[in-house]
Amino acid sequence: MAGRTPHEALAAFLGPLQRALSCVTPAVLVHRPPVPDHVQALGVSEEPIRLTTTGGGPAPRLYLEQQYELVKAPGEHGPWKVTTRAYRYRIDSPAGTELVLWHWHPADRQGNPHRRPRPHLHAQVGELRGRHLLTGRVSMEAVIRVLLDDFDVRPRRSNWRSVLDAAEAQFEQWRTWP
Amino acid sequence: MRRGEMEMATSATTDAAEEPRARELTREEGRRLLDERARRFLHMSGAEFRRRYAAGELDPDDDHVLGVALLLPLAD
Repeated sequence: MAGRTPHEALAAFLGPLQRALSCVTPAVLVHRPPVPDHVQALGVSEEPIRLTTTGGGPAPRLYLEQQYELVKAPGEHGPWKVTTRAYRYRIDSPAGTELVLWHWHPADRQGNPHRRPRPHLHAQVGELRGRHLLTGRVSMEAVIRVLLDDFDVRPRRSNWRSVLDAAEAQFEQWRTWP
Repeated sequence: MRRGEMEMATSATTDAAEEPRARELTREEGRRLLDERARRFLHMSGAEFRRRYAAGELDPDDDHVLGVALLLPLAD
């Protein structure tokens, strides 16, 4: 998301994400003040994130983290934009059993390329357990949609479809990677 | 609010005028959140996590290690 200043670019990045998150939880995103050209963290105010189900039964558990960087960008993508550097999304069963994990962490702790640099998914069932199943890069909004569409999670906003549609449209418009 | 969670505004809303907003943390708040997550999921302090992660003593492919590692910049 572009902005005239680092603060503006960060606000443009966080706004749609926070609205998307509010579709399933009252928890809020947490971050530090913008520092250009440094990898920064985006977390959530509670974890696992509390969810509720439409049927009132036990709800799945959600984990979300990202890293991002404020960078100079040319043209309509600038002069400042936020680019995602890494993520970890995870859905557990109500009992806490790992079900599905989306990982993208292209660099190791020393900043060198990770041995598994591509976005991937862990499906924690049967012979798939421990496999790195390659994916495209996955948005936080997409994970929230999965919860609403396939995990019986109760939406907290009546307009959740339009909120997620808008957030994902921005994600597609501004991303600079395949 | 669960024990150890940071106290943050978490009001539910469908009203655009009351949209929840992301919260900007101070370094100290970020350090406390990192410490809480490291203790909750990995049974060590945030400082110990930082030291052991930098030393390569923790499995970077462990999902909870990854989750806490991604939050390290909150405390910088």
